[in-house]
Amino acid sequence: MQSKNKNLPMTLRIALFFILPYDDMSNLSGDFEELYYNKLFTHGRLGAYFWLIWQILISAPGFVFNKFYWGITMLKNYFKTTVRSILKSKLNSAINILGMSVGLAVCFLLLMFIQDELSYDKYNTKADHTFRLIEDDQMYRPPTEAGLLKSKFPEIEESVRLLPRDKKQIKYNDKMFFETKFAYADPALLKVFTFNFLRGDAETALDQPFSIVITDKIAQKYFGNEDPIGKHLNINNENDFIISGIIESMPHNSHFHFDFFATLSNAHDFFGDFIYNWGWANFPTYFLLKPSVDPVALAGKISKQMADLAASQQVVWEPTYSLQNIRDIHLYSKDPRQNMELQGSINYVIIFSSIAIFILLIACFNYINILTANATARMKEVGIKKVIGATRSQLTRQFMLEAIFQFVTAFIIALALILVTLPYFNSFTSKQLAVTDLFISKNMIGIGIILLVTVLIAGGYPARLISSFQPSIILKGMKSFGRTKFNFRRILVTSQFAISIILTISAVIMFRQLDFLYGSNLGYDKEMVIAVDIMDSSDQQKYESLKQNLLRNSNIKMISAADRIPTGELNNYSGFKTDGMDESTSMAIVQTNYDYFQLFKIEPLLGRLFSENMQSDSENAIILNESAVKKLGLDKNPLGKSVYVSWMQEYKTVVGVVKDFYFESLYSEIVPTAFVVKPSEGYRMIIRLAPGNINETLSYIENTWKNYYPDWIFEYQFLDQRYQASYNAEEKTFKLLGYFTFLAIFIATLGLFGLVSLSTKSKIKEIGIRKVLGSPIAKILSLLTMQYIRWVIIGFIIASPIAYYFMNRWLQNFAYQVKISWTDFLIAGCFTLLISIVTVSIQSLKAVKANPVDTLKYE
Amino acid sequence: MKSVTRQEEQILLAIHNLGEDAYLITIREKIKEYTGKYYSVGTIYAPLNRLDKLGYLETYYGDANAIRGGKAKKFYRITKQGYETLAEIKEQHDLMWNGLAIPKN
Repeated sequence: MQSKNKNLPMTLRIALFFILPYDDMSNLSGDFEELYYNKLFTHGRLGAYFWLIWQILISAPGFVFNKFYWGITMLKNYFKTTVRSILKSKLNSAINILGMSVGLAVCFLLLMFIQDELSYDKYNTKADHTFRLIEDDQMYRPPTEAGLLKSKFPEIEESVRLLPRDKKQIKYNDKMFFETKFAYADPALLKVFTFNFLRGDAETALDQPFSIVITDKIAQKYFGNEDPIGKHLNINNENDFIISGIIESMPHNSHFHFDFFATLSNAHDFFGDFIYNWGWANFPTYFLLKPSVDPVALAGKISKQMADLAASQQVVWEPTYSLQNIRDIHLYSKDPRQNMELQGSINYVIIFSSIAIFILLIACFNYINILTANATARMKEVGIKKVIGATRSQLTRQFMLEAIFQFVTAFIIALALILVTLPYFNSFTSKQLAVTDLFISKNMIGIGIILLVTVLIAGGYPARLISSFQPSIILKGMKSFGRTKFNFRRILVTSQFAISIILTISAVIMFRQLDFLYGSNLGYDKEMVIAVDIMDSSDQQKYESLKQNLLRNSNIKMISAADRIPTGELNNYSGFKTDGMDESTSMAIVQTNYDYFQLFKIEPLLGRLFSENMQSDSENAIILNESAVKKLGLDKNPLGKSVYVSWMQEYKTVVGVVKDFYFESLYSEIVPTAFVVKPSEGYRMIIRLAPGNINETLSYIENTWKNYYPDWIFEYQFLDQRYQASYNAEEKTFKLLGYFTFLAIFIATLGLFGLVSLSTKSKIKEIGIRKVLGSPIAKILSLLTMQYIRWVIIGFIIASPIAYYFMNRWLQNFAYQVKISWTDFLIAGCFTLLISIVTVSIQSLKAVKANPVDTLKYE
Repeated sequence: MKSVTRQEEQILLAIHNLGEDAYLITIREKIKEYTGKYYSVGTIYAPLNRLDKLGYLETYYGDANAIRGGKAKKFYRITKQGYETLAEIKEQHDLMWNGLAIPKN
C-alpha cells in the first residue's frame, strides 16, 4: 500500500484542525491517524473513513468540555485578579466607575431626549405628503386662501384650515370651564392627520354642521360616565355643538395639541361674512399633496399664481410661498414661538447632542487614563507574570476583562441612575420619556459600539503597552513608561480640559444672555398690572359703568382697555400707506382706549398721546412707534402726516410718536406698530393696582365683574407673570445646559483627581529625594502642578474658537443679543484653572507632606 | 488532594499498568479491557489533560513514525504526587469495602 493512501484524508484533517485543542494538536492528530491506520486493514478505506468521522463526532463533546473547563478556570483567575486590583485601588476604581456611570447616564438621557425631539409628527401616517403653507415666515393664513389654492392646483389632494382659539368657555349643563385647547377645523382634518378614534366615524365625524370632536380626557371631565355622543356643548354662550366623535388625547410629540375640534363646514353660520375676509390671517393651513408632487415646485407655482391674482386687481405683490413638511415644523420653524405651541429648535438638538458626545468623551478619556495609569502601577505584576510565562495575548485578555468588568458595573449603575432621575427629567422637560425607549434596536447597536470602542481602547491600549515591555527592564525597576515620545495620556487630558472649557464658556455666555433678557428695561411698566377679559366690548356704556364701579376701590389706580396688550402677541396686521408710497406696507395695529399709554407709563417722544378731550382722536388720530415711522419713511417730521390704514379703510393723522418698546418679547424684533383709538374693540381690560392688599382687591374685582357677566368665568393675569412665562422654556433649556455642564466638569475633575493621585504615587521617591536635598514644599508643589496648568492652557487655546463659533450661532436665535466679550473666556478659563489647581494641589500636598524616611526606606 | 473522578481513577490505573507504553490510544484500549467500554478520544483527553495540569501526570514525547503521519506520541507517566493520590484512593476504598460480603440469594 502506498504511503499516500495510508495518510488521513484532507477533509478529516481539516475537521480535526477545528476541534482539537491548540496545545496538543500535533500528538492528538497523530493519535487519530494511528486509529485510522489500524482501521484501514480491518474495514477498508471507506469503512475507516466513516468510522473516523464517527470518532471525531463523539470526541467533540469531550474537547469542547475540555476547552470550557480551562476557559472558565482562566476566567475565574482573571476575575480574581480583577477584584483584587479594584479593591487595591479603591479610590481610583470608584472614580472610574462613578465617572463612567454618570457619563453614560447623561448620555442615555440626552439620547432619549434627542430621539423624542426628532420624532415629532412622525406618527401621522400621511406625514410624508402633508405640508404646511407658509408665506414669508407667516404660518397664519387668511381663510379663503386654502380653498382658492385647492381649486387651482390638482396636486393638492386635501386642504385643511385650523383656527386655534386661545380661550373658549365651554358649558354642559352646570359644568362650565374655560378651555384653551380649542380649534375650529375643516372636516378634511380627519383625512390628513392621524387620530385614534374611540367613538364616532374616523373619516366623517366633522362633516355635519355644528359637529365637534373631543378627546377622551374632556369627555371624562364633562360627562363622567355618561355617553357623550350626540350631547350638546355650549361654546362661549353663543353656539351649541353636537359631539360626533371622541379621540384619544394627541401624542405628546405632535406640533399641536387640541382637546376640541369644532367643524368649519358651516363656518358662515357663526362667523358670518368674516370667513371670506382676506385680512383675517389666523388660519394655519395644511395640504395633503398627491404622492410624487414636488413641494418646492408647487410652492413656486403658488407664489406665481398669487402674484398674478394680485396683479389682476392692480396690486403689486410678490409673495414667496413655501410648503413645510409637518415633520419639520417642530425643529425647523423659523421662529419657534410663532406657532400654535412653542416648538423646539434644531439648534438645541445639536447643542444637546454635542454635550452628550462631549460628556461621553470625557468619561471615556477618564476611563482610559485611569486604567492606563493604574496599569503602570502594576508593572511589577505584569513583569512577574511574563517571567512565569504569560503570553502577551493572555495579559491583554486580563486587562480587557478588567476594563469590561468596570464598564459593565458602570453600565448597570447608569441604568439605575436613569430610572431614578427620569421622572424629574420628564417633569422638567415636559416630556414623557420611558426607559423602554432606550432599548430599541437602533440604540442597542449604538450602545454596543460605544461599549466596544471604549473597552477596546481602555482595556487594549494599556494592555498592549505594558505587556510590550521586557520583563527584565520592568523588574529592574526602570521606569520607561510615561516618558515615551508620544504621550497618549497627555492628549486625552488636554482634550478633556478643552471640552470642559468649551462648556464653561458657553454657560457663561448663556447666563449673560438670559440675564440680559430678564433684566432689560422693556420700555413700559408691567408691574402690578392685571388683564381681565370683557365679553362685550362694543357695549361701551357697560364698560364705563364697570370701570367706574371698579375705580371706587382705592386700591385700583387706573383702568384702560385694548385689543392687544404688551407681553402678548401682536397678531393684527394691516396695510399702511402714506402719500409718498407706491404700495402699502404691512405693520401691526393695536386698537386702544384713550388712556392706554398712560396706564403703561409710556411717554411720547414727539407730539402727544391720545386724549379724551380731543373728540377727533377716535376718528382720525394715529400714534406710531419709532420703527413704524422709519418704515413709513416719515423720518423727518412725522407729526400731522396723513396715513391710509387699509384695516379700517380710513385716513389717519399722526398725532404722536412713542419710543420703541418691547411689545412682544426680546426674542422677536420690535415690530413697526400703529396705535389707533377704538374703545369698542378693547376687549382686554387692563387694571393697574396699588401695592398691598392684592388678594382683597382681586376678589373685589371678581365680584364686581361677576355682576356684569354672570354667565362667564372670571380670569385674570398679571402681566409680569405672563412675561416671565414666555421665557420659561428658554430658562429650562438653559438650566438643563447648566446642569450638564456641571456634570461634565464634575466628571473631568474626578478623572483629573484620579490621574494626579496615580502620577504622584509614581513620583513619590522623586519628591522624597527633593525634600531630603532641602527643596521647599511650595517649590515641589508648583513643580507637580505646573504640567497640569500647561495642559489647561493648551486646552483653553483649543476651546476658545470652538466655543466662540457655537455661541455665536446660538445667539442668532435672539433678536437682541449680548456681545460675546473676552471676559467670558477669561472667566471660564480661570474657573477651570482654579478647579484643576485645587484638585491637583490636594493630591500633591498629600505626597509632598509625606515623610521622606517612609518613602525612601526601600532604597 | 484535589478530588479525582472515577474516570480519572481508571485512567491513572491504566497508565500505571501500561508502564512505558502509556499514550492516549493504549490508555483507551486498556480501559476497554477493564470495563468493556470504548471511550471516544475526546472523552479520554479531557480528564487526561486535567490530571496533567493537576500535576498527577508527567508527559514526554516519543518518536514519530509514518503510521502517525509523522507526529510524535505523547506519553504519560504518573508522578510521585499521582501515586500519593492513588494510594490515598486505595486506602479509602479498602476502608469502604472492608468486610463487605455480598449476600448470595
